[in-house]
Amino acid sequence: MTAVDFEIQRTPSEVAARDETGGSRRSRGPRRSHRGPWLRDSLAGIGLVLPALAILGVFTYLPALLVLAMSFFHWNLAGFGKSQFAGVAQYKALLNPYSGFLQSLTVTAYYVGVMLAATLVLGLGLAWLLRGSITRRTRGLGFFRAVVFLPYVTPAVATSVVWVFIFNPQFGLANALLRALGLPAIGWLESSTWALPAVMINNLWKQLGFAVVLFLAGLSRIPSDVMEAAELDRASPSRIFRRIVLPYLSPVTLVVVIITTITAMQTFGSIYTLTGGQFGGGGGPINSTTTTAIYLYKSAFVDFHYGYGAAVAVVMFVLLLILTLVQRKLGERYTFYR
Amino acid sequence: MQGLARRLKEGGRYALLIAVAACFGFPLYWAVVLSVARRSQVFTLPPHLLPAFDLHPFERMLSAQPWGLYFLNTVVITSVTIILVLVTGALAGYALALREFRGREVVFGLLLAALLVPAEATLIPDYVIAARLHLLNTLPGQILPFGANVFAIFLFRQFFKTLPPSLWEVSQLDRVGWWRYLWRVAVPMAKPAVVTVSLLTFATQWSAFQWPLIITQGPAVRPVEVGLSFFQGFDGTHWREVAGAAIFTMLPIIVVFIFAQRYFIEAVAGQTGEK
Repeated sequence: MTAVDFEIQRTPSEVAARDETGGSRRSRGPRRSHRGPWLRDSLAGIGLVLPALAILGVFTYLPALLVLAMSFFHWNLAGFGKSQFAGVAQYKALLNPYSGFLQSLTVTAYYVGVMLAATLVLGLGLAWLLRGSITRRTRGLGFFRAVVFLPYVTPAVATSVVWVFIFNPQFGLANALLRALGLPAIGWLESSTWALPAVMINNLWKQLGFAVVLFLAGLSRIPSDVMEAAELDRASPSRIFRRIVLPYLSPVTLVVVIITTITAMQTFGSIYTLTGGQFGGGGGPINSTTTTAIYLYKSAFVDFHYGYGAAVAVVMFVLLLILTLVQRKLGERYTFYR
Repeated sequence: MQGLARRLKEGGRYALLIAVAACFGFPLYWAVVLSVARRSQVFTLPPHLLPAFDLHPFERMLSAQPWGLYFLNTVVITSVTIILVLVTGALAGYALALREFRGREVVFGLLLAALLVPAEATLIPDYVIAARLHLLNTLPGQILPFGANVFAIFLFRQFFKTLPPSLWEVSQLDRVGWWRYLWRVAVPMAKPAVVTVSLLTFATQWSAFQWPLIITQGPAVRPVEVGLSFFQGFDGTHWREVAGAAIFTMLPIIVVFIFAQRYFIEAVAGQTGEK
C-alpha cells in the first residue's frame, strides 16, 4: 500500500487531530508542506529564481529596453554619453527606398510566403504518407520518419556548406538534374532570381521534418473509430480528408503557420553560408537574399551602424511580438505552462 | 482481387517512402561521397555518385585548421551551458512549483515576458553588454547568455507539480531537507525533463553560429560552426576538404540523434506544447 492510499483511508477527524498536533505539514500537499517561517521562505523562493532571473535580466530584459533607446541615437561603442541623439531620423531612414530596408521586407515576405505554403502542403503530405495505422503496421516507418527529421537537428552552417556544392552552376547536382531532364541550367546562387529559391530549397529540406512531426501528432489525435466509421460508409478519400482530417488538424495547422513564419523571419546561418556571408555580410546578388534578419546583421556588424541596426531590430521585435502573441492566443489551449 | 489491390497500394506507398527518404538523405550522403572522392572525381560531369574512399582530403582538412581546438571549445560551451540551464531551470522550476513566496506571480509574469523577446531584438545590445562585461572573445561570453531558459524552467515546474506529496513526506521522515529533496528526489524523478532540456540545449549550442560569429575574433575560442564558416570562406573551392569538415562538425549531433531519436523528436515537438 502506498502512502497516498493510506491518506485517503484516514477519517477527517483523524486528519484534524493530526493538524492540532502539528503533524499537518506532512499530510497536506507539497506546496504547503515546504513551508517554513514566512521571511525565510520568501528569501529562499526569490533566491531560487534569482540565478535564472539574473541571466535573463542581463541578456534579455535589459537588452529589450536598451535596443529601443539605442534606436534613437547614432550609437557608438563609447556609450550613450558619447553618442549623438538622432531622434526618429533612423526610423525615417528605414522608410527611404535607397536604404534597402524596404527591399529586405519584400524579400522576407517573399521568402516567408513561399516557405509557409510549401511547408503546409509538403508537411501535411509527408505526415499523411508517414502516418501509422493501428490495423496495418508499416514496417520501417520509424526509419523513414527519422530520415525526414534528421536534417532539422543538423547545424545550419554544416548542411548549407553542402548545398553550396549542390547549387554550383558548373558541377553542381541541381543543374546536373535539370540537364538530365532536358531543362536549361540555372545560375542558382549567382543569379538574383534563383538565389532565394535555392535558399528555400535548402531550408525546406532542413525544416520540413519539424512540421511533419507536428502534423503526425495532430493526425494521431484523430479517433480511430471516426476514421473506421467513415471507411465503412465508403466515404471517398477526399471527403474523409476534408470532413475529418482537416477539422481535426486545424489547431496544429495554426501552430505550424506561426512557427514557420517566425522561423523563416529569423533564418540567418543558411542564408549567410549560401550567399557569401563569409565575403562581407552576405545577402545574395543585388541583395536578392537580404532578408530583414540579414539586413540587421549587416547594418550593425558589417557597417557598424549600431543605432540604425537597433531601429531595424525594433521593427523586427514588433513584427515577431505580434506573431508570438497571436500564437499564444491561438495556442492557449495547448500550451503546457498554464 | 482485393488483396492484390491492397498489395499494390502498399507497394506504391513503399516506393513513395523510399523516394522521400532518398531526397532527404541525399545531401548528407553526397557530403560523405565528396569528402572521400578522388581529385579526378569531383569536378566532372556527370557527377560520380559512389564513394571512392580516398582519405587524403580528410588528412588535408584536419591539418588545415585547428579543428581539435574548435571541437574542444564547442564541447566546453555546450556541456557547461547544459549544466547551467539544468541548474537554473530546476531551481526556478522548483520554486515556482512547490514554494509559496512573495512575488511569485511577478516572477511568473516576467518569465512569460521573456518568451516574447526574440533573439534579433537583443542581438545588438547583447553585444554591447558583452563588451562592457569583457565577455567578447571568451568562452563564458558564449555560455552565459544561454544559461537560463524559460522553456526549461516551465518544464521542470510542470514535472515538480506532478510529484506525489507522499514523496516529500517520506523524505521528511528521513530528515531530508528541501535542498537534498530537490536534487536527490525531485530532479531524478523529473528525468524526462532533464533529457529534453539537455538534448535541446545540446542541439542549439552545438549549432550556434550568429552569436559566436559576432563575438569571437581569433581561433582561440572559436566554436566548430564558425570555424567551418571561415574554412568555407578561405577554401571554398576545395570541395572534398570542406565536405569532410562539414561531416566532421555535424557527426556528434547525428550520433546522438541516432541513439536518442525518440527523445529528440519528443523534445522538439514538446517545445511547442504539441505533444
